[in-house]
Amino acid sequence: MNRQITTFFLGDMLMGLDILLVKEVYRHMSISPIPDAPPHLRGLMNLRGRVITVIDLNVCLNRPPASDITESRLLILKTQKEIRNYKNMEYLEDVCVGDDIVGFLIDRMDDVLTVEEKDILPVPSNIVDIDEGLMTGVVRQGDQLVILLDVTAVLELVMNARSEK
Amino acid sequence: MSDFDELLPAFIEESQQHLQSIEPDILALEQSGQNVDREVVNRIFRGVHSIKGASGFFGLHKISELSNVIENSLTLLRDGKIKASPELIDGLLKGVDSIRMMVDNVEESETFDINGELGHLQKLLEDAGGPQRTVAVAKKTSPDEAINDAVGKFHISENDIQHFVQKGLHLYAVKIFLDKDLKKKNRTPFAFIMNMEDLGQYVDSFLDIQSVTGLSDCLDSDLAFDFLFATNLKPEIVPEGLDINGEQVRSIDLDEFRKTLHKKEADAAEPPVAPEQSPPNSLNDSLNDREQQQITYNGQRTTDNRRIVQTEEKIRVGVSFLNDLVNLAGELVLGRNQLMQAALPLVKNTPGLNSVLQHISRVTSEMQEKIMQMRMQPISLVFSKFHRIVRTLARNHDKEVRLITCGEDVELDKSIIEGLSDPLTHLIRNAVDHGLELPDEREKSGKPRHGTIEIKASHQGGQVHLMVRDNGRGIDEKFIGRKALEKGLIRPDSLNEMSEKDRVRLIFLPGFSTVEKVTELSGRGVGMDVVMTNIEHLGGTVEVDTKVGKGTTITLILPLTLAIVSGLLIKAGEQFFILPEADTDELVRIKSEEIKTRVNIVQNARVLRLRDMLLPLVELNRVLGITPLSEDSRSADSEPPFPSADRELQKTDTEEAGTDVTKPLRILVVRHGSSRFGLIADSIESTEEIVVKPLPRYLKKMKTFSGVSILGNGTVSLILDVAGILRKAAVRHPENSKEAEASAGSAISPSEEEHVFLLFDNSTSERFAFPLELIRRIERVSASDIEHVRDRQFIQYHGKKLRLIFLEDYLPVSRPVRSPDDTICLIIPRHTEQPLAIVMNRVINTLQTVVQLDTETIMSPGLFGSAVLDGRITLIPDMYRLFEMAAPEWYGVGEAARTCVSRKCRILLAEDTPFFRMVENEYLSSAGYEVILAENGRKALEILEEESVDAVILDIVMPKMDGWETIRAIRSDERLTHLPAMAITSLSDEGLAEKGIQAGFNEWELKLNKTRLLEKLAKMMMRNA
Repeated sequence: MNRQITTFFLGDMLMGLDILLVKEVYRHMSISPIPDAPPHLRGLMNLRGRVITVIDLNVCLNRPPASDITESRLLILKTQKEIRNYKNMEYLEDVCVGDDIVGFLIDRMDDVLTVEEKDILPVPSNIVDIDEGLMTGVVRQGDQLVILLDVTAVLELVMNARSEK
Repeated sequence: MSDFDELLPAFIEESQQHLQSIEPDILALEQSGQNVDREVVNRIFRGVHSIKGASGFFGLHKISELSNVIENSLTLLRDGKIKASPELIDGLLKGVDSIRMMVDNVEESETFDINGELGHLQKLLEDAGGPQRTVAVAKKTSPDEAINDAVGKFHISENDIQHFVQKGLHLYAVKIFLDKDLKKKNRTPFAFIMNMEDLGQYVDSFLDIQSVTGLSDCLDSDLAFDFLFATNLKPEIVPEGLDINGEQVRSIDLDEFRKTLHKKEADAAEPPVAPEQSPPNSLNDSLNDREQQQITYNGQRTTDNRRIVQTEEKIRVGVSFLNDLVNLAGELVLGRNQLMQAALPLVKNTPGLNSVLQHISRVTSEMQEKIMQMRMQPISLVFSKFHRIVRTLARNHDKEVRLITCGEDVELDKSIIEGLSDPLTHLIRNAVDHGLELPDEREKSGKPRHGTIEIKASHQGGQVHLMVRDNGRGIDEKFIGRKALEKGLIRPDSLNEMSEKDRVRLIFLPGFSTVEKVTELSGRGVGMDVVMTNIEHLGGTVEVDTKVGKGTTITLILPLTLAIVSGLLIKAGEQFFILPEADTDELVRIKSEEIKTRVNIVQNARVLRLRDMLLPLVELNRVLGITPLSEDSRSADSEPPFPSADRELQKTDTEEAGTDVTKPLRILVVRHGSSRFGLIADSIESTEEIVVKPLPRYLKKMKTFSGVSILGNGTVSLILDVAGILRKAAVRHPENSKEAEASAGSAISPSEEEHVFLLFDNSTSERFAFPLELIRRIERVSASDIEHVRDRQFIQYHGKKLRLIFLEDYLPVSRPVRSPDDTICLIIPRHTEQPLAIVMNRVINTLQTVVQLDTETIMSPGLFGSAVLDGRITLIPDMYRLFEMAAPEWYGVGEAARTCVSRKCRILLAEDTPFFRMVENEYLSSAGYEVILAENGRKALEILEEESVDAVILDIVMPKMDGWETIRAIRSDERLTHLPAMAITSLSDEGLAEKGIQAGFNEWELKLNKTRLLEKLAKMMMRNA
């Protein structure tokens, strides 16, 4: 069975998410910061009357936080309720994104790939920067590797993150 | 059987509704004891009956069997053959419980073991020796008659038949088809049974499985149900009434039963004989005139009864649908707010735009209000189950408990109602388990054997108060203190520092539980801390009031709804936050030159001296960890943006501190439970009606916020959680020093009570002043927003129509020139329920002073008098009098009430301050009381020696003899022990009110609140009478 993967950049790192998890890509952000929050939480945003929690994906993956976000994009995820509508998608069964809308702050959008299940390879051990638990696999794309994110684990990480102060 | 599956949910839902109303009724039966209320029995009967009918319909034999036995018991009860003994009630309750369980798990209901419940009731029935103990099963008598199939399997008790015969009812076997008669006609089985009940009495039903003989039958033919139906209708009318075909109705001859009955009278041991069917005509013949008459009579009565039960037609809507609506309405309000802001600049140049905007605004508010109302549910939903819980608990603990519920109609948002169930259950369990003593113990201490638990819900100032009161042993603060020490929850030295009230509040500490044994209902390891957290989660607070030996009252204070609150928009750093208005008491502005004298360090914490209290101060910036506005002050993190008093002088060189000294300080006085503190924000912007959205789960750890909201300008803003801020700032309450301060203050200047006045003008040369206590808020509005309705002026304010009162219309003052381009200020009063506001031009100042009131030079109705304030002659209007003059229709009730009093009641008023003496005298006289005045406590006692009065009202802080001393003197005089006494004070501390009640006051009220003063006075005197 074929899957489609949205790919995007964090710095020069190419990341991927299943396209069925993404609701939309957004720009022109006006984010209200959350005082005393862990750095993973960039702030809150109003998207057509819904409150979105903006998560800095760079911070989650042990990278320096994006300093200038004027060119950044927001990858807005679907909620659990919306994902539940996809039946017979085995790889979506274990995904847990909760009922609050989340937006991942990313540096740049890239492409959409169509891959087969067999194209997804285990994570090679040489990706040291990223917590192993946050990845589900990699896909070879030309001479680059696309790192597939484990959304559930990333959100879990954010929820348990503590303020640095 | 897919047709079935469609109807099944309806069955479950309706059965659940019946069960919900059955249980309280059963408990009511027990309460009524010997005098069984037939109406209640009938109501239960009808509920059980419907369930029985429909369950037969679905082939749910167990449910049907159990409800049948319950029904039989009820019949015996109704006929007085058995009594509403605890055993019977137990049996009924257990039976109902089992039915509920089976209904909840309909699929498995047939596997339930209900023999226990059946046996219990069956035994009672047997003991009563009623003829119903054998449920007669009618068997086919003549197999060759096809028609007999229908009558073959009805369950019917002889007693019922006897009933029918006596009442002259006919019995019919009715066959209906699922598809043809129900589905095609859009009816549910319940609806059909209801229809039947309207026309007569439904007796029994079952699914005719035998008629489905093969697969082809299943596919072609409709499922059939057989009903047994007793009615006074003639055979030819029945089909019409039930909207079915004529051949589906068969009469059953009751003659057979009559014979059997006669036979039974002769020989009671004779087994019942099955009914036999006969052609319809013969039935008519068998009726005699007497029966006919009775039929008409009965018929009328039945319809009458029905009419009472029928209510407005309702549509069931799913909760998720409702929630969607609420969300949409919330978003609509946001959209409206944004639209208003965007369109405001265009209003002037676009004719007609304003009215369209106003219209949209109004409709939006109204719609939202209505939608919120849909979520409101009466608190009786929660209360109803407590009768059962209390009963069970009382029996288990061998206690005698009476439960009184009050205020069942108070409505709260659905989400709050749901969240209330657990904490309330816990409180009730505590009250029975720990609060109330055993009957013998109670008798020894001179109390009635049965304890009383009272649950009361009431509206108070936009909030709902839920009170759980028991008259048990009360909470011993010393015991609590010891227990907390034992469990290592607090240190001995901090225990010693605690006030009595604080020690009682230790029960809210996590891990504190005085449970000695684990029982079925109580002591599951959850303590009062869970109650506290649950209630705080709902945005409420918990208060305890207890007296050893007398009982405990726990009050839960809850918001009406969680979804919309009005809040203050405040700024910290560059960010906006919302502080719910319900949490704020007042806004204090301290002039820059006063900062040094009024902000002190007490016990290493900064406090504000406010009137007679010391308030701990909290800086929002620091609690939230926000760097203050000026980015360049690098030291901001290490040093507080607002320097503590002793460091203040050294910091004048930086820009930060520079603004601090020259800028007045604004402090929000915030209340949480009974503790108050001052919150310092960078600025306070405006008040807003906001739609509360839940905190995203990623922020759940941040205890300083309680929710989020989207502001009018579209940005997301966090809602501050006062409890969380308090905890995070680790505010210590200088409680003891507060009281010391209060009494110290009174010792120094006992005769000179200072009051804060708001000075303002009305665009004329006259100056006015109101006591600040009377004012809730000042609002600036544009004069063009004023709308005229006949000779009255209104303004829309937070979705309400606020009636405006112009001083020049009621007072002898010059008339200002008004233009629609003006910006005017509105004084929103504090203690009124009516939407009124007073118009003025601008606030000049606030002034703390001793007022020398002159009541002669300038006088008119609506004026207290004049005084020289701030070097100018200032008029002091009587706010309540103005309101009465402006809107007599709203205050008319008071007039009527006082004319009822045949003789004028005499009130002794002891008050040292001339201003207040005059004001209160005015309040009391206007309400029809005769007032005797005294300047202090000693004078008051002298008067009491000579005159007889109906009540006394005492000021607390007075020279020579203060209120405390006076009340003690009054109470120690045996002639005066029962004299109603009320304290009025400007000391607004809740602890004091409690102390006051202990000292012997019957009521405690703040000064200048006319409505409350009169209300409490009337209540107090009523009680005494």
